[in-house]
Amino acid sequence: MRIKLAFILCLFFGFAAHADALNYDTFSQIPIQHEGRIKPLDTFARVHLQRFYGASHIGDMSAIQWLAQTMFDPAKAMEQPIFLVKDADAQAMLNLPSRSDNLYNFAETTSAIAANRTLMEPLLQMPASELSNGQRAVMELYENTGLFTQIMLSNTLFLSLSIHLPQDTDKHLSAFIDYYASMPELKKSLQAIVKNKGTNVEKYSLDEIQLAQAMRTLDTTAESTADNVLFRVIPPTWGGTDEWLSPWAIFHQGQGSPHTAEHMTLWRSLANAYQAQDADAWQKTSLALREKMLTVPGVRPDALSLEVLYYRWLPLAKSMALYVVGFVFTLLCLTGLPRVKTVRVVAFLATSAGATLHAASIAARVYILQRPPVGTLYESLLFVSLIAVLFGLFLESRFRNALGLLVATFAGSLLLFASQSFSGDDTMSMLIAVLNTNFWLATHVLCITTGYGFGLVAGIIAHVYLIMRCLKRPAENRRQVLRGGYGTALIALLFTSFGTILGGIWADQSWGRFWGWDPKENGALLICLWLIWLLHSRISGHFGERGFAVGLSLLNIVIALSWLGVNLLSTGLHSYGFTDKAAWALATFCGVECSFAAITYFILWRRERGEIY
Amino acid sequence: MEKYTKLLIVVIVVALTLAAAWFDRTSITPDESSEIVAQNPVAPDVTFTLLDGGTLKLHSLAGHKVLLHFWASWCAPCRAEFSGLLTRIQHDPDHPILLAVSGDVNAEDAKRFLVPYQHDFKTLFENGSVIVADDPHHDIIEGVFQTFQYPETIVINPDLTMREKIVGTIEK
Repeated sequence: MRIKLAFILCLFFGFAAHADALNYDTFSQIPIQHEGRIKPLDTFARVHLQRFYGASHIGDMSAIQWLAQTMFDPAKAMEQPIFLVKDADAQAMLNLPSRSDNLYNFAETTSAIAANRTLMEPLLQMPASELSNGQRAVMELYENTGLFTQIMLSNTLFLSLSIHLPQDTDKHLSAFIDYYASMPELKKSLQAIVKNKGTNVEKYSLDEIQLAQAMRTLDTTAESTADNVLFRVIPPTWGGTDEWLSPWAIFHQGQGSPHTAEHMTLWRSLANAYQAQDADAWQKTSLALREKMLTVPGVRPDALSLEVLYYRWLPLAKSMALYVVGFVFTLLCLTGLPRVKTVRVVAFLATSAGATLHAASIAARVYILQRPPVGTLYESLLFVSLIAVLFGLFLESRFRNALGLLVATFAGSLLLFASQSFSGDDTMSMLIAVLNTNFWLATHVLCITTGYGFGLVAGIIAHVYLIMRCLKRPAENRRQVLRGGYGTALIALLFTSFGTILGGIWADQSWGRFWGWDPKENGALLICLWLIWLLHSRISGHFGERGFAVGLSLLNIVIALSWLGVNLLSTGLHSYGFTDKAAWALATFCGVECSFAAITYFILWRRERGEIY
Repeated sequence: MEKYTKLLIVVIVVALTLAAAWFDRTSITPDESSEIVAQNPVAPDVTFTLLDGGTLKLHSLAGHKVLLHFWASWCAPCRAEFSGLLTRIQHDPDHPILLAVSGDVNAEDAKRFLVPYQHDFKTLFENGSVIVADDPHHDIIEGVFQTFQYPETIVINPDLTMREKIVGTIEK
């Protein structure tokens, strides 16, 4: 089918290479409904380009330029090497030529998939968990070519077809939508020709051949666009639904109305302006389309603009860079170099700037998504890191001994770096139904994640204490650090316990029971029990400073397993957090933490016994 | 330090409470997003060319329930349902008007198809309960109402708002 499509797409007029003179700012802010939420076209373009190509721009071409080209000049878009196939097994399975950049165009990938159909069919039936890396890459490529096809065909209703009929000269027909009204008559004429002359085209006149070719093109275009529903840019008029429609869905599903006609006319004008590279018409039509969409319920122009800005400016990446700078300066500060005070001020400023950007990013996400800041694993990483950074800065402003800076910069840079593994195609994804309650997201989830944040800070402080003790730093300084860890552990216990109880109440409302020994519930309980055990042991004198610090440093493992680890099990009712990512990273983290605790405990234990100095 | 720790906890708890209250207030209800459907847009005041000559402005039918029916003589489902549609109009207590807009490129095809019905349902055609218009270039059918598949029917209220669209034949 896709080979047929490639053939048909070649029949849409291609346009001469041109320096792109169009302004995409307004176009990028036109809303589209994608994966359940209204987002700007800019995000739609980025998500797909990232998915196909592994980056949000192709050289100088931005994602939105790529999208415009794909929609309005599909013949050219087909030639662009857009599909990144890194896996050598996948390349071999599909007989794709080996290339240094591992990039292939639509024609190459569709031909390869079609030629290996026997390979694809069993893969389509197999569960994703049983696929090898190569097979998974093949399946990804298969899905990506499908998505690319959807985008390429999304506006073909309006694009000029390179077919010619004798009557065109009178009627100025050019696009499928123009020809459609005449299709019954054309079909009738073709049937008459076949009846008189048979199916051997050699007996046909030139006009008759053109008619046969035109009918084939029109039929295949109609057939191949029956499921073209990805490009939802037109709000519905009928049927009590809030699902937007693609131009082809309006055509095929009979959802047209005077209201959709106005939208379609504007999209057609936009396609014409693009093809003519008419900057004025392009800008005027983009503006008209955007203005028209502003009257649609659920469309918030300021949120669309903010989202475009958010993805263009990438404040979280800048925030992470500032944390890294802060971390380097904090380390310099700890080495006792001259001008320590100045270095500490620089570290503090860099970290504060990073925290400001970090907080602003989360606030922007809250404003765009209209929900509390934590709804996905990715967002929990952003929030927990912000809590850790802010508390680190709080500690620093109190003690001024670089401990707070160390906590803030280390936790901030590490967690923001880790968050990239969980970001997905669109970092602002919609929540599943069970999570779609702002009250519980703002109470239970924020409480639990705040608890995670304080717990991690307590763990990092315990690490610092153990390192200081191994390095024989003054006892008073070490005790001050551990007192900070003790206080932080108490705050962590408060929030995790309260959050766990709130979670139980939510579970009672949603699932009809307070507690069900679900892995996520067990994980939350485990953090509370670990903290209670440590704090009671410390208060009762069962743990000295060393034992308490080692136990507190291991809290990081308990939190990591409860927070991220249980999601790897892919079982239980908390299915919205399931992931198969980062298993190895998590295992490495646990290994490193255990080794750190064991080594420091061993050193301090032998030192206490007088076996080493 | 303890004083500041307590203050910090109080600040966080207050912030969480305020956040909960704020987000609970701003929760989106599903009905809000379907507002556009509930608004029932007004039908545009298009001018139809009637099959037997003359023109008709859609808004001149204000005060009547109108079934704006798009069909063509070559369309098998349209042909199959036409008789039932006329019977329905005949017995509908709301006395709606059937404005049947033909998409036939050749008006003679539509005229030929209608001959037996004009005989069987003479009263309906004569008292204006059935009006047949012609749109060979699909300027209104596709250009204004974006009807691409036949038959389709738009139900228009007496206040000229469009109530619903029926894609395919009218089942009941």
